[in-house]
Amino acid sequence: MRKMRSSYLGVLVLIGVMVGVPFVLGFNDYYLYVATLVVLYTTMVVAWNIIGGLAGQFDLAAVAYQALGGFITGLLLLWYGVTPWAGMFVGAIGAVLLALFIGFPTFRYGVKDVWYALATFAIVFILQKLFLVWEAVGGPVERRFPDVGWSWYYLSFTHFYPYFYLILAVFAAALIVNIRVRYSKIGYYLMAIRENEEAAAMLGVDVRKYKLFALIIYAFIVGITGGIFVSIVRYIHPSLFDSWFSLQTAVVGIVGGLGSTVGPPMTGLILFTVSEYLRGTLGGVTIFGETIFGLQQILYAIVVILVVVFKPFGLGPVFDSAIQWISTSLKLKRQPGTTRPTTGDNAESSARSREVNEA
Amino acid sequence: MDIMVLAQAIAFGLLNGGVYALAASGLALVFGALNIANFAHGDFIMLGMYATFVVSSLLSVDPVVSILFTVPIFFILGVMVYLGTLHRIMKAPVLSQVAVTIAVLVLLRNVALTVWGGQPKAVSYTMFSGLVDVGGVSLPLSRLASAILSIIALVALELFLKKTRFGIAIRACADDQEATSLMGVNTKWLYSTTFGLGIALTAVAAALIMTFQEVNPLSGVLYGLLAWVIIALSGTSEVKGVLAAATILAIAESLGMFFWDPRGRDLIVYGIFVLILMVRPTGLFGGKS
Amino acid sequence: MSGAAALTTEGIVKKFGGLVVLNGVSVVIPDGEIVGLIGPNGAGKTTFFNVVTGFLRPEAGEFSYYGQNATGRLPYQIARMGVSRTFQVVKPFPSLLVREGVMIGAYKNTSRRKTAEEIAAWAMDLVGIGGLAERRYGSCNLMQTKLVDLARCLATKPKMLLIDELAAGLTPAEMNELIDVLKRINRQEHITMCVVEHVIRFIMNLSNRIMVLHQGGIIAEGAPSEIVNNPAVVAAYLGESATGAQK
Repeated sequence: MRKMRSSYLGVLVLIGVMVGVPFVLGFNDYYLYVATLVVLYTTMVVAWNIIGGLAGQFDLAAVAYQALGGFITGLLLLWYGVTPWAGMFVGAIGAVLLALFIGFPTFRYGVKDVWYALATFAIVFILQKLFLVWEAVGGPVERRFPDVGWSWYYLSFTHFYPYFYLILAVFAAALIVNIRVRYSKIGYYLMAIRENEEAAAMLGVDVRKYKLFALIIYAFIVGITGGIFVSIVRYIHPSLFDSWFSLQTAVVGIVGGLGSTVGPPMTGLILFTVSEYLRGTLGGVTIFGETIFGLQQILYAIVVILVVVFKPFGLGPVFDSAIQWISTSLKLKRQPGTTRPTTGDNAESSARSREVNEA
Repeated sequence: MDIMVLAQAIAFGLLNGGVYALAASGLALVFGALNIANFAHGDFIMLGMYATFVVSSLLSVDPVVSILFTVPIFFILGVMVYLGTLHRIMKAPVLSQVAVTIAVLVLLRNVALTVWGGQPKAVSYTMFSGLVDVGGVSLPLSRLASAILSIIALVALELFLKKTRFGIAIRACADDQEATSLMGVNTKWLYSTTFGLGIALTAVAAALIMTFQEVNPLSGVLYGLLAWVIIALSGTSEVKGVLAAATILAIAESLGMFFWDPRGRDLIVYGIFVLILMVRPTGLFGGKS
Repeated sequence: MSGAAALTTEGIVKKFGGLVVLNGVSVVIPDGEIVGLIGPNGAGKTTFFNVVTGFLRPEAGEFSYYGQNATGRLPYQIARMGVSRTFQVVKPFPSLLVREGVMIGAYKNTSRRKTAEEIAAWAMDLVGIGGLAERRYGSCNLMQTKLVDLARCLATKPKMLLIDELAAGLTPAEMNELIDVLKRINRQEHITMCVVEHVIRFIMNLSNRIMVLHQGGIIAEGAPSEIVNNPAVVAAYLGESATGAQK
């Protein structure tokens, strides 16, 4: 399908451009650290798009899956010397199990969506407390990774660019998974679920099964980012279960455009870069477990409100239109297909065409 | 097990139940009637607590008196928030509504942080100080008074919903939104005032809470969670159900704090929440989902 | 199809709290027919649909499709038995393409995109909206959206279609067009239909047979012309205030 091919092309172009980022930043470690975080957060958003954007489930447990993945990776490293390359996959599986634990009861027929949002929100706090109290695996003291200098085995590097390329690879994978899901049977079923669960059921969709599918894919990707994250910061601690990052992921996912393949990554990259820049300039205050940035967050919140109020379906369509405009200007595509009504529209209906309101 | 300690714990829980129910009532109203999942609800309570602190300090009055000032302000605030944000996206995907309320949450929390800083604030004076001895159990007067006042407020709310035209319109809306609008009720007006009422209720609860608690920018987290768990447990947005659920939750919380670990308070609440979801997602009194 | 009726219900009882909405409803919808279900507001038509599509559990009674018992099955399982039901798409995502919307239904019988596309194209042609394929939901008017919904249901290749108040909001001309489309589908593809509708004129012109539901029970059954003159039916409608009748 044309759209899918051009999406893959877009991914190629984007990743190609981003490969050059370290060079542009002069391999400055601080800037690369920020850039790595930006890509990491964006990867979470792209993954979230599957459960939130396509399936329409408001998941607020992103950081729980990530931190759990990170904890498992870290503990395997600290206790058994397992390489994070393997540990991150085990962590991802752990994240999936957690996701299923929440998803199973809440995806039953008749349970309103908002309970899933709340349950996922609660799980972050529960896990944080749990890991704080459970001294054997967590406890209040940071568990630091051994300082091994440059080691591929321990996923430890003395400069940041390997981390950047690693997360870039995961980002690329997440984008591709996103596209594949979007244009497959799963994607269509998820969108049907998002639109109207009952109608989807009457089309033969096993709603619960597909929601769980989406959940598994999403949790797995986020779990992997967790393994990478702890390899970067080189410690594990209950403060990793910071609900702010869950909120951030979901909100950017929505602002980026529900279900869109272009919107979430582009919005993520832009917003997170701006946010990190602002953080440097406006400063912040840390209260244990919740990182609050005061002024910067207020600005953030206002921007989000404005975007959602004026573009309730997100910025996805905006990006799509922009890309269409670019490609028609460059004459890469024919004119976008707003075909004139031919069969099936009688003159009366077209004359009385009224827009289905967006808001 | 000392029977007096048990009695103490249960009594404590009973008192808290009333206040928690009031704290949750605003959300029950908004969620039940308008189907709006206001994630920022807890933070409105937090803001209400700060507002109480400000009025109380400025005018040197008991926090309960500050209700006279904070309630009208919060009602207007609620209406404005609704009209400014939610109203325009009522036809948008539910996720967008949730995103907006979360953004409001972030906004409120950080405004509080910016204006008042991270250090907790407490009201310096309340007329409800000291302990009262009831049958061998000693109860803080502030909590007792808050509980009584909460019940009064809840009864008033119940009467309002059952007896006034506005209240009936809200309940009709909860039952069938489409029919209500078809019957010629101005939904924009109805929705915004209902939302305003929901927020005004948080101001009342906040004032009462301030008689025995201090506030910090993160207070909203706990109260928001409490409100949602109560609604989940109740299964219905009726005042009676909310009160019953709140009391059960408060007693469970109290027992946990007395007999297990005071710091485990959060975990108890979360635990109950998870339990509800697993075992009976429709809540204790919920009928069809 | 064999002699089995498309839908048979026996003694369906449905209560909400103390209120009895369906009081032992037994109907037979023969294979290949278009049967209309009418009744004053609150008579229980939607409840009936919800029960036979698995969204509500009846307190008593059974129902089966083509001889297979469907009582107690979940909606998607009933859909897999060859039943589909139209739903008014309340908040469609405006940027979704019509073609993609229809493909959702097409995927019921396949996992391959190519096949789904073909089925979708077939369904859209059947309904007569082939030209709308590349349009976005957001730019479709009411009639078009309904036709798209219909196409989506047809893409599941159902043996029976439950049509839930499809005519709401349409002009008389549009209603006539819809009637033609439905009749053609019924004839051409041998799809049985049960239609719930408030707009009397629509259902009279469409159905072979009509059943009238009132206060939880079927009070009359027969050809449209018979029903119109049936005194019990007239009383049932007049007994209600003049809501529920057609525009």
